[in-house]
Amino acid sequence: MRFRDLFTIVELMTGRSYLGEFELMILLAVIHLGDEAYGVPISRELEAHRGRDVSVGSVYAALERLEGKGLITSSLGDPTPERGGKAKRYFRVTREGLRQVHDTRRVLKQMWRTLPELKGEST
Amino acid sequence: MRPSKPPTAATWMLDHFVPGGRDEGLAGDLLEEFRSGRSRGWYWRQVVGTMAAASWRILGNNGALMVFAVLWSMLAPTWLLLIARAEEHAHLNERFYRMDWPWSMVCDLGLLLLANLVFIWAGIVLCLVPDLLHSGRRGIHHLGRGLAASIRILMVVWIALIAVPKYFIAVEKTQPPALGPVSSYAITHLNPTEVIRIAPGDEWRAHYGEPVIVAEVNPLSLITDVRQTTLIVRLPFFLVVLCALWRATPVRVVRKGFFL
Repeated sequence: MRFRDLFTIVELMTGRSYLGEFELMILLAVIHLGDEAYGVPISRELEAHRGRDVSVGSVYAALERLEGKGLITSSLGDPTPERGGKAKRYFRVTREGLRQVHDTRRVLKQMWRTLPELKGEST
Repeated sequence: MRPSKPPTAATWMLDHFVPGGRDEGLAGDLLEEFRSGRSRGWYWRQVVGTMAAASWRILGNNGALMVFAVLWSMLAPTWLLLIARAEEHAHLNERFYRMDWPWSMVCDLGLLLLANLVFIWAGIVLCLVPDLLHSGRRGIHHLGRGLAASIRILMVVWIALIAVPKYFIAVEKTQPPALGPVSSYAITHLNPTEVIRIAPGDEWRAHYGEPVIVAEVNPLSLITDVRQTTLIVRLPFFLVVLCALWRATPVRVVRKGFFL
């Protein structure tokens, strides 16, 4: 690992809030879904990629944390009959959220590059 | 054919037991998923998971309150012993148990409720003093909300104690049968057939039955006593103080209606 990478990691951890693995996955799902990013498709997207069930409650808890950090915003849609008259809550990534995703990707890519080939992994 | 309605009990729990209140978007998402083919078991798991996630988040946001509730409930056995000694000094138990049922029980439980509430309210007031000084009238409003909530929560805890731990708290093992201090023992012995009646003129020979709360114990030594029985005695006080403080303290709101 080069010193520059180390500084980037320290900057991410101290200067701004640090993205957890689950939070990062949710942010990516929200970005990918665009205007259709609400609880159900976000959970399905996570399930599809992780290959296991996701608790919708924990997805909402993470979304709430992300909103608290200013990385996403949310708004209520119109109530629909198939949802028992309950509205969908749509999520959208903010500029700061996008920036943090890019930063995290850059750091992770740099760190992966410096790793020797892992045992059992054919890259 | 699959039912289009999710389990009513689970939905009711989602509406009432998610700390901080239900989020409309989440409730709608669960319903949409259920109607798209998810099982009843899946719905139940999601509701329980939602409750757990919301509780965990609230715990994380209110660590200081939890620490205070733990510390304050450490004092509960000492308080109970002091009340028990006061009872003994004033011969209150003797007087109560000479009364006809249900007055014997009503007076005993009345004293028990009063003793519990004084302890719990003292804790709530102590914890909210900074809020009172800082927020003025709003602080008084928070305090009132916490005190009112403590009564409701205490009632729920009492009902749970009556239903569950009669066999959990092994007070029956003590001989002679105990008329314990103002503690969980009285709560678990509401049944009139179990009240030891003392005929007028009989000698009063009641003992403190719980092994750890005996008259000879130094009240201060109970503060650091962490045996199972004292921990069980502390548990109801811990729960009531913590929940009442949650109710009283303004939660850090991200957005109204979204979990918190």
